[in-house]
Amino acid sequence: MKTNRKLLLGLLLTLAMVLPQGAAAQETDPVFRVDTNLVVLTFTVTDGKGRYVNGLKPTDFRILEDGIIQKIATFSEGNLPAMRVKPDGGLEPIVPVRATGPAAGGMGTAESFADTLAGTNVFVLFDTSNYMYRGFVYASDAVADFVRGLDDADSVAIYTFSRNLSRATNLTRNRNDAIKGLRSAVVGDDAALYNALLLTLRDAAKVPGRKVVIVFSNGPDSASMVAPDDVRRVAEEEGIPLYVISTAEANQDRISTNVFRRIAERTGGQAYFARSWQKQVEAFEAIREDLGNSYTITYYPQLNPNMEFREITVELSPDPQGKKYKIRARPGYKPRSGS
Amino acid sequence: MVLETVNPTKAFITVDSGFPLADLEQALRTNRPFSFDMTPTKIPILYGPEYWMLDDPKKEKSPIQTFLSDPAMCRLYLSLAKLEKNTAELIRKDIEFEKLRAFSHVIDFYGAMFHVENGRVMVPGGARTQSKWENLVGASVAKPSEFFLKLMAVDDGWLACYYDALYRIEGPVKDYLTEPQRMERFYEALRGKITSPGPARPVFRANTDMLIFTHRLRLDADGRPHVPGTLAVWKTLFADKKVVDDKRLRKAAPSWQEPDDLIAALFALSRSYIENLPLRMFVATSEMNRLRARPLEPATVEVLLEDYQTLRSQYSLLAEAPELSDEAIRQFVVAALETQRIRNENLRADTVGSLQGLLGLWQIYTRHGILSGTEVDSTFRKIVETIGKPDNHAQLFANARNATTALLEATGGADGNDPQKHLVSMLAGVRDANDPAILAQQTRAINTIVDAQNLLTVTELFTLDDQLKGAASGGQIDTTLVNRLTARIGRIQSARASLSTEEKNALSFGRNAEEHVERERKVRLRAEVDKNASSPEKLMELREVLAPHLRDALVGLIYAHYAPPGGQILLTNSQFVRYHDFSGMPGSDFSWAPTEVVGVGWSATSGGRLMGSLSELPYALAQAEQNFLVPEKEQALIWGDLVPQVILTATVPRWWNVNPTQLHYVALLQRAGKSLLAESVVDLEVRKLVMASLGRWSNPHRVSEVRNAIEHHDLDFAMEQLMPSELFRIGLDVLAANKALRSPIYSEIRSLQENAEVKMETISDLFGSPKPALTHSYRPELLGLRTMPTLMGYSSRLMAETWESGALYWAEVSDRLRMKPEELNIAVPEWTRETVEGIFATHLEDWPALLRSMRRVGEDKVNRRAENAPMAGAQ
Repeated sequence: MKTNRKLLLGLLLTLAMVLPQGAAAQETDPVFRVDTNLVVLTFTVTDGKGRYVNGLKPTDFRILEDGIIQKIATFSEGNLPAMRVKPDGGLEPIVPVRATGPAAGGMGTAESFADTLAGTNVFVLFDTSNYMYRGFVYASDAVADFVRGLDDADSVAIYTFSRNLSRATNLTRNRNDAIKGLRSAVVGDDAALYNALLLTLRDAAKVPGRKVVIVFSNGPDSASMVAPDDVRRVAEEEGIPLYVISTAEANQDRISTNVFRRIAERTGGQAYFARSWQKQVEAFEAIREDLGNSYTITYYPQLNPNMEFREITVELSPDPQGKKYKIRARPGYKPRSGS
Repeated sequence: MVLETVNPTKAFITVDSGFPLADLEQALRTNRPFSFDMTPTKIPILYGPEYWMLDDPKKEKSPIQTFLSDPAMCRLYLSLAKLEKNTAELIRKDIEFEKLRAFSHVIDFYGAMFHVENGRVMVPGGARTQSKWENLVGASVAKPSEFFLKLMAVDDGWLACYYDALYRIEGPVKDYLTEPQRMERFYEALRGKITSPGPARPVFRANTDMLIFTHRLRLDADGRPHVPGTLAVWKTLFADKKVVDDKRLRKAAPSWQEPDDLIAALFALSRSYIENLPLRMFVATSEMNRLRARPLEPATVEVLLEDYQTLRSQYSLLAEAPELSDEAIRQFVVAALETQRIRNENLRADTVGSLQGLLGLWQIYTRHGILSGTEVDSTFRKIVETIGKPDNHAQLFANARNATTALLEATGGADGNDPQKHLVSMLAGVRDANDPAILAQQTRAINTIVDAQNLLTVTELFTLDDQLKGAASGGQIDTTLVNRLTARIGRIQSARASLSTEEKNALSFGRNAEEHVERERKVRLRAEVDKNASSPEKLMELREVLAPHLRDALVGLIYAHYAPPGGQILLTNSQFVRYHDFSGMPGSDFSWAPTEVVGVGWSATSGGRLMGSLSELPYALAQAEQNFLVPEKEQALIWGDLVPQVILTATVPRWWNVNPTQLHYVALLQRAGKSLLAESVVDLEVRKLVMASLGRWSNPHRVSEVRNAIEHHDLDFAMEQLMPSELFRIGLDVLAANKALRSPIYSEIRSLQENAEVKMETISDLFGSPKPALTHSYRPELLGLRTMPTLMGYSSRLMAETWESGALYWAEVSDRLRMKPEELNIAVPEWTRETVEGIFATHLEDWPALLRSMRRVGEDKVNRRAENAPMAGAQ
């Protein structure tokens, strides 16, 4: 099997999480060789009235992949830092080891390391194609409000797209920088939504910790070379939920609507159809709520010969049949070839 | 505080204008003062604002308002800005404003070559053509304003167009075309009887084919224009009603006596962008002869003309290898046409794909010298002959395998037990590569794409084939291999798999592409092998299911070789290679047509894909991948047609055959160019030589800009204006013209010039760029042409092709960085990607934006290396 370079950063960080504290004191830098895929799973739990259920513990969940029980490596709720899950199900802070190479960036102290894992890395992909001429400013206002309302621990990147992607603001916790980037966007040209979404996912995949991509688009796509489901597959592999806010009426373009719904649901995100500014604000509010009330766990898959789509099931111990609570998670993923 | 957008239109314009809205918002939210300097920026206006208000006596509009409301005025402003400064000043003063405005379109397209020196018009062809031009125009060259005004007016701009085309070229062809009697004759042919609409009326210049023709016409040793085949071949062609629509031309053709008669007829056709097929045929076949030791035989030319419409895009393959014999070319034409007679569409597409895949590999190996001498021709012929016209897929597999074996034998890979590895290593580099690490990196890049596309390898297919054959005589089949291939085939997904019914209904593929993939994925290899284990004959029949996979394996290698830097499709869409559509739309056959990008931008597709033959694969792949590059600033104008060509300069040429001496020589010449430019500030003799050289490679406007800067001792400005290719030429020309010039750089150049490895032909091969639209070939070359403008049918593609600075500049940068030439195989694609992402252009012909971006990337590399280098004497 081959080591996938794309995974290196995440794998090294996760290995750092699960190594005993004493390793940090060793004189020589440890060398890790990893031949597995880390699965990152973000999900929400709601009750019968649609209210988020908070305060659950790792021992409250059973994660199954094709029916095979998985061992949870790390656990976090909302924007709290990820914690290592001990064999008894208890939690303990993640302690970094000294590491070298590209994956070691920013891992100076335990605090700063934990800091990188706190909050969510939110990538906003904003449509600046010809489709957006009319509602551009209102849409921009809605995005700006969303950025301002994010949790302090969250980082945000503002990307825009028409025929090409533009990285208006790279990932930052500075809300003013993000909004400046947003306000500098100009509108025009074709819409290569799925091309841009793919590039955004590639960037997001390089960042450690929890991340989501929020697409704000009028649709439909007019210039992409990649298909929506190819992009969705990348999101699934990387464990990145996609949220889509479409400014078009859901019934205007049924094919785009279906695609938006599918790529959002299959990655554990949501699709919203919000034509008015007010609805857009509400959609962003709903996403923010989701981010603040979701659980994120990681695990290394147990041996499984299935190299096609692996179905993930999240069970809540008090409600294994899912009668009382609803869990919204991505339904599964297709492992990378070579793993 | 609640901030609300009340007027979205005004808000949009505010944002678009660059107003710092985010700062204002923040100030309001935090109750802090906000200040913004509203002092207007002064924009220098050419000739001052008054000139542009001449038709507005009440001065009610500012020049900006005038430009916005009057396109002709706006165009006049832009076109005068492109003119040679003194010439522009002269005509502006002498010609009434309204008249100039009426000809703004002609000035815009053809004014860049207007040039006055010492009060006289510098006409194409010089002194000997002066009186002829005066006759044609109806004004004296000593009266420049009158001359240019009439030049623009004659025949609704056709004479100006002709003047421009002749001014742009240099050398013996220019001498030939500007021979006074001939020049007049050709113009008469060009203008015809109906001169309207003029060539400057459309949005783009309509004389594309005339420019290509005048740039690519060449003379034989006897000084007469080269005619592919014989004149008789062309007489027959021109007499054919199906080919030539113009009755007068058809009638005149049988009485032609001289090549000049043909050239006149070609000029007559060159005024039309359509219906000029014989002109295109002439240029294409002429290019095929250009590098050949012996020109194509008339019979071969006849065959090529006969099947031009069907096979024209394949002529670039034939033109790139002058070693190909006439027999090989004729054999290819016959074989290609034979494939069209295969009735089973799937078999036809797989046959064509396998043949083109193998010829694509042959082309790459020939380009990089892995195949050379007689091997070039013999291997080509073996491939074409061996593929033939198979009756079924099992036969196709056997033929394709044998043809692959022929290629392996010719490239030294016949003895190895891993043909895939051999084919890949030859694509990644060359035999005996000096830097195994670079070779390994290139190999990895190809293998990553092969893996991402779930392609079966040539080795796996051949091994299984051997085992199927062996089983007939009691041998064993390796179940591990069968299982592995079965699993790989199982990973091929249907593009329809995850789509809703509505999406499936909206889905459109080429008729064959989908079937090809479906046939591949439905094969249960392990089950078939098990089922037929007891029947050797049936096991042998299983080879038929391997044929489509072998096609994809071969085609996939070529895709991987040309994969552009920063590309995503081949890593994301695992069906991209398999979905290559060799058949095309219903009712047509695209098997031998140019490669096209199709299926872009609609949710209900399996993603874009490529259709047609593999002839334009490098360009089409670059087109498909260009939108994955992330520009640092928004821009689009220059992007669509220029960027794929810029990408080509990084994906087609490779650096394995460049040696350090050649790299250093090219770098030295550019440094010599800079040094001579600096000397020209103080040394009038050097200045004269520098300007003479520059005048040959650049247009009058830029020459005068540089001259003016030098005269004002503004060396930095002058340096900024010059392209690396111009500095290279100045170095060559001036040092050749004045052998008394002395400096360590000049001495080193002269010393290196005694060495055969820096002959201009070699340097052109190694540091040139491919120009498929202009030269009908992907062979990298340095042609030293003036940068072309945007043209109808090509937009900025020809401009990009005549921009030859890429490899020359990277060579100079790498020489400063003391890099090994082979390292550029990795570095140049990456630097090119950065260059493209840094382009910030303001109009379609803004190639200086490309130059700025490229220099910024290069200097950044040099500076970073300097920063990282340990300080001298540091411990």
